[in-house]
Amino acid sequence: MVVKIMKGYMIFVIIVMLLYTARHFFFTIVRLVGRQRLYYNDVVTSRMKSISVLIPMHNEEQVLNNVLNSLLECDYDRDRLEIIPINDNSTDQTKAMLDEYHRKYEFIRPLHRDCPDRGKPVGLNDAMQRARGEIIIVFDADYRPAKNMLKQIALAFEDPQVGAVMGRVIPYNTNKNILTRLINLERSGGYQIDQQARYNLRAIPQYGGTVGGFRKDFLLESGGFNPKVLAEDTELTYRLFTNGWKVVYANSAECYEESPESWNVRGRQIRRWSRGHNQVLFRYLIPTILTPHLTLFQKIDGLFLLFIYSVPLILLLGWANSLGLFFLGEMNIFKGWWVILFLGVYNSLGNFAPFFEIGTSLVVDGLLGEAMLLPLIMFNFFFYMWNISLGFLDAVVDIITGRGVKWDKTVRFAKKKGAPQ
Amino acid sequence: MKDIMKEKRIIYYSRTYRRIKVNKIKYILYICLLILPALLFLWFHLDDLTRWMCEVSVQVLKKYCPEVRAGIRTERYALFGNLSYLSARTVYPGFRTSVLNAVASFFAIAVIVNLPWKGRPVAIYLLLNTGIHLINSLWFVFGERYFPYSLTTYSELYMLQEIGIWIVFLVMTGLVTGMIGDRGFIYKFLAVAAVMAYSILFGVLRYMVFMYFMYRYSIIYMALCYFTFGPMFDFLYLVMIYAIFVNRMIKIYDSGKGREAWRWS
Repeated sequence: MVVKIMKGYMIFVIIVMLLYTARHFFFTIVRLVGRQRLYYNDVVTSRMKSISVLIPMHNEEQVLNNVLNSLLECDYDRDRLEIIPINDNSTDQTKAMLDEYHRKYEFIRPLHRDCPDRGKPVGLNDAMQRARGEIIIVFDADYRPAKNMLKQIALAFEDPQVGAVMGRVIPYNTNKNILTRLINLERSGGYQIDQQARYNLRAIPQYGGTVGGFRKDFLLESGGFNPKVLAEDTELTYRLFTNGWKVVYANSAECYEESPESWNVRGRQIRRWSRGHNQVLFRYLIPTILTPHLTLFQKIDGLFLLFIYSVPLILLLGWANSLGLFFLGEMNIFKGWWVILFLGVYNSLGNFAPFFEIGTSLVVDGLLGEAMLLPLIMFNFFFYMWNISLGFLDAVVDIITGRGVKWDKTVRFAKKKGAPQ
Repeated sequence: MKDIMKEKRIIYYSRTYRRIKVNKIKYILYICLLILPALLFLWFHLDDLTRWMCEVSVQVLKKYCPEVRAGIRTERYALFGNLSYLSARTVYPGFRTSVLNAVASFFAIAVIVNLPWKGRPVAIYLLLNTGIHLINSLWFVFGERYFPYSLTTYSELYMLQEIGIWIVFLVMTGLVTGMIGDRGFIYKFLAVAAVMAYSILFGVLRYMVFMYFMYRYSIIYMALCYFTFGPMFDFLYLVMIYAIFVNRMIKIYDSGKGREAWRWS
């Protein structure tokens, strides 16, 4: 009986992996050779929406000049724009630096939070209460938006069905080390292929919490961000879709971010993402299936996306299971073939993007030379499998105990430079 | 001034929404006339291929490791017809070797978890595989006679796995190289050929090394050979060859002629 269950689990793992591989193969073909669905770049409006740019910050003295100076360069009517840096319990020079910006620019209105409930969701909730814009645009403090970024994001909201917009994230510190170069590959596959294909297919493009915007009224009316959910971005994506709104992806809205430069920082970041994403899985699994606002295709894609951070744990258990079968003398299941399928599909997956998806994104992006790093994503796989599985277990404990979450800020690597312009 | 005008006369498509125009018939022909016949050829010659692998392995082992006495066994399989694999005596490690391996694995784990780079991918990979060897060694310490495999069983499983790798690799490489547009057929062909050639040669070499190793140093290393240096490494060279291919395709599609393939949606 035990052996039967173990063999059954192996077959389950193989099916899961094959489904995800087929999904990514389909996405890759849709992106590479299919007709692309364009963003709203052609929309012309004489009066842009009023926007509030929110930038959560906790001890960001190293990078805050970059993001604020870049935003000041942005092409947007100043009377329709306000910038709210959310100084969340910083103990460094963040507060003083933000006040300096405020003295120079009236429309930069920092929100200083000095309270025990630190974190991005609560910070955003507080800032939204005082925000004047009808559209909220969020950037992380390490981002450097391009000149036309705000206009591009805000344009989509001329469509009354659009609830949120997501832009494309590109690391700027790619030449730092192997890790940052590998993250660049993953980002290229994740945005150029995955997000754009989902947008092409009218599936579930994901709002990523930064380099994007959403309607303030919808969020406030639906209770704001849940401070117990770490992945407030994924939660918002599903909240919008299950309420009949659209999330659109702007591949042309490119924004530069700082990638983690050390494995420890990356490990913690991935674990946090996994924890948050799986919290959303537990909350939105049933609503996604039952909602009348999604088509069958969107529901299937939505479920694939919801389970994406569970796959590494399924694989880890599959590996342990295969070890058990090995010692039970059951290695001849499928006459040895299962190992090929099993290892094949999961080794081909880096951080949720198979090697051919990343390779194709490099062709589309024209990134010559970077493809030679592709074999290294396999070793990355173990790293992700481990950290994401831990994140999944964190989420399980969260749901059982109902404990609150503590925000863990990603360490910054940029050297402090620049000043108010 | 003339140079500037020359540059401005042609504005290439930006990467944002560009796509490649593909001739679907060419893709289908590529699969039907190259990959499918190659697959059928491979399938109908598995008998010869495995026989050849065994003969080469026996000859090499006889020449360089005369103490290894291996025979060739041929069996009929419903799906593949006749397949050959090596048969050899199983050497068990004994209590002392098993304990030594267990202790060594334990210390290796202790070292890895205390390394300054313990959280890195390679450390996690080593940790997982050393863990496998520790469990395996403990199995031999406490229940050597219950170990369910012989060297001949391993040899049979290896051969079946190799067949799986060849077939999966041929199909996979065909699909992922074929999808990248109509250009660079020669590079697609070379990528498929390189993957298959490497796969077969590496498969033979690894077979010999593993058989020798387990014959010489006991079957305690079977789990390690299977899980650590098994299919994982095959996927490594598949992706490596694919990476070289992709790099070449990027060059082609960014060259003067390749640019014509791009379309703006």
